[in-house]
Amino acid sequence: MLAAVVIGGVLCPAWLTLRRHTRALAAFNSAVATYMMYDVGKARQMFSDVARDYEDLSIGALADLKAAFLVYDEQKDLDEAERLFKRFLEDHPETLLHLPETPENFEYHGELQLVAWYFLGQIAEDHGHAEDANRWFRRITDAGSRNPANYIVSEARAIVARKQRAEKHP
Amino acid sequence: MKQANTRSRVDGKWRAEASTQSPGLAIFLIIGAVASAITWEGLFFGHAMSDAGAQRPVIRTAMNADELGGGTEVSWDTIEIKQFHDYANKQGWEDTELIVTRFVGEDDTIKYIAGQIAGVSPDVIIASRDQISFFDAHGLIEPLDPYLEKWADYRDGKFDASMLDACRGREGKILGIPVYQNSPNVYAIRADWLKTLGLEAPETLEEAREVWRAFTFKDPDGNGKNDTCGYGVTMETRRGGHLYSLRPFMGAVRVTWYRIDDAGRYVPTFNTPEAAFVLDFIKSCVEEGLFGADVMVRPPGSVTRRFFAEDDLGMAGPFFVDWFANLANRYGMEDKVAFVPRLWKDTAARTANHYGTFTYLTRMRCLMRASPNKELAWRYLEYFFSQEWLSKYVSRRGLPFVRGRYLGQFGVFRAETPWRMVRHDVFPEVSLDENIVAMVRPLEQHLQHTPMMTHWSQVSVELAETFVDYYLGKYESAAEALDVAEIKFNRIVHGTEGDR
Repeated sequence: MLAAVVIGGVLCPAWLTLRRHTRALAAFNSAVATYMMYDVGKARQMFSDVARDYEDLSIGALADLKAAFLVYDEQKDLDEAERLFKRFLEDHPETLLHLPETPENFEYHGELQLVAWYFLGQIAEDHGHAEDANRWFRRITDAGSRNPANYIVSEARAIVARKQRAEKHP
Repeated sequence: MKQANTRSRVDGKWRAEASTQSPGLAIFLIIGAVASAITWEGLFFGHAMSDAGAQRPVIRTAMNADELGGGTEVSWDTIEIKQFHDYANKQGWEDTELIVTRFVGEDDTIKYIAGQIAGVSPDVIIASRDQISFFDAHGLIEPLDPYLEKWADYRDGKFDASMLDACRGREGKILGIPVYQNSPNVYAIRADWLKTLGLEAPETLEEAREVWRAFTFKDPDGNGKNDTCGYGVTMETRRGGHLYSLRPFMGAVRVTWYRIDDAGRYVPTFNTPEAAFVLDFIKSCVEEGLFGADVMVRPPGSVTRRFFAEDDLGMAGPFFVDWFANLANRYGMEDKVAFVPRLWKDTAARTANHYGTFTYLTRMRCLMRASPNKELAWRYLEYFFSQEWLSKYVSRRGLPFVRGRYLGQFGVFRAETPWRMVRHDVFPEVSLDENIVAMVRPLEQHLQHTPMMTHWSQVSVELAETFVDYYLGKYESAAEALDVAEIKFNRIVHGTEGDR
């Protein structure tokens, strides 16, 4: 009897945790699917819902970034996007890693803060604030890994290199 | 051997058709008996059975699952079916049903045969040149010429004729349609090493050898270690990989591996003094250690990795620029590497503009002769190669599948950029750097297209083995190695030793 209680006490929370992860992933994938099928507004709302419902999981944080990305990329609302990316950094002051949970080929894996820094750099660039932009991109190259699979770091590195070349040969 | 395909459709619209198939297929009946036990991914047989009660015309396509993305609940099947139906509705074909099936694993050929035997073969397949050549040799492919000629888009010159010419089989018919062509191949070189050593980028093979010597022996990375080499070559023979390494050098002297003569026979074309020159050039570089001391024992597929990740190769190739730019960016080497568009054989060749190079086409979509309603199946190709669909296919975020990748990568999207589309009126949204295009464009005049050949995978292994044996001293001369290679070619392709 005691053994059953102990086993149940251990397994039950583990099962609930696993089930919650699965639900979060399914909700995230539904939002991706909605975007793929062209319903951007609904996709953004779904990502925001995932971010709200699973704020303690890395996939919730990733969903938060996706929602902010859609504001930047689809709505072209630079001020709102900047606010969202900055809020993300305030909400997640410590390094936050998102690691692969599914065999996805194309999803971002790695430090999530780098994504926010990258888009704050892009937004600064779009506003014509080249110095600010440079600071954000350099922050990524200084802090990010050298892993070539991290395309946010690779892209930031390429931008910094291009800027350096342009400075040398204006 | 003539076999009647006795398939029929319940709607009564489609008649049973007879198909002529060569004796070679009999061998595969045996393989097929085994292969039919291999599971095709879910939908294939499932749809074949559920189709029995269907009253709608059905088109089945089959492609390799490896080419597809995954990970979201919107599968390629769902996407393509929806896209096809949207297009079909506009064309007035709203009752046509599309069933997308997938092969799992690498060997599409055997699985296709298994499907044939099971009587559930697809109408359209997406396959490699080797596979298509095999199917063609066994009379399984329906030539597309008559269908294309009825299509206004083709008659109006919307398609790239040279690209379609590269898809012709032994009888000169168009067997399939690719989506795009990669760029002509180029070399990549460590621009930073050249600068350190005070050297210029080479333009001829002899100049290249001088640069490779410096890269190998003059410590270009300045770390005080003997840990660099001039050029990356693979000696891997299992899949004929060494021939891929040789290809740009053979191209430089305009040597091809084979051609098709007027009688439709494959004729080896590589046994020439120019090819012997290339083998001798490679052998001398091996002996000097310019490809690295471990060149004979290096694991396959490592040239690209060594150039970009391990940082110990001074020059490498062949690369397609659309792919190379992506890799250079990912490895943070954008400002360390440069292109060498070509290496001439010598200054005389440069003066005479005598050069050859190659490229690749994407996998082709083909119509199968066993399709019970080929006119209907052609609709799929008309849809897929329409301006509307192809434009989505190459746009940054138009196609649902591409959108998934685009979102996944936060818009930092570095897919391969098609060099040339099969349609003149489709333009990839992500364009290549103008300077790179200007550098590579002149190479197009030197492109050499190789005809498709069923036996190529086997022949390429034998040729690679022979050439590597020559570098290792098994043959007295390059000419002798080429004679042996030609005999092997003829034995495999024609079952004889040829005229020699």
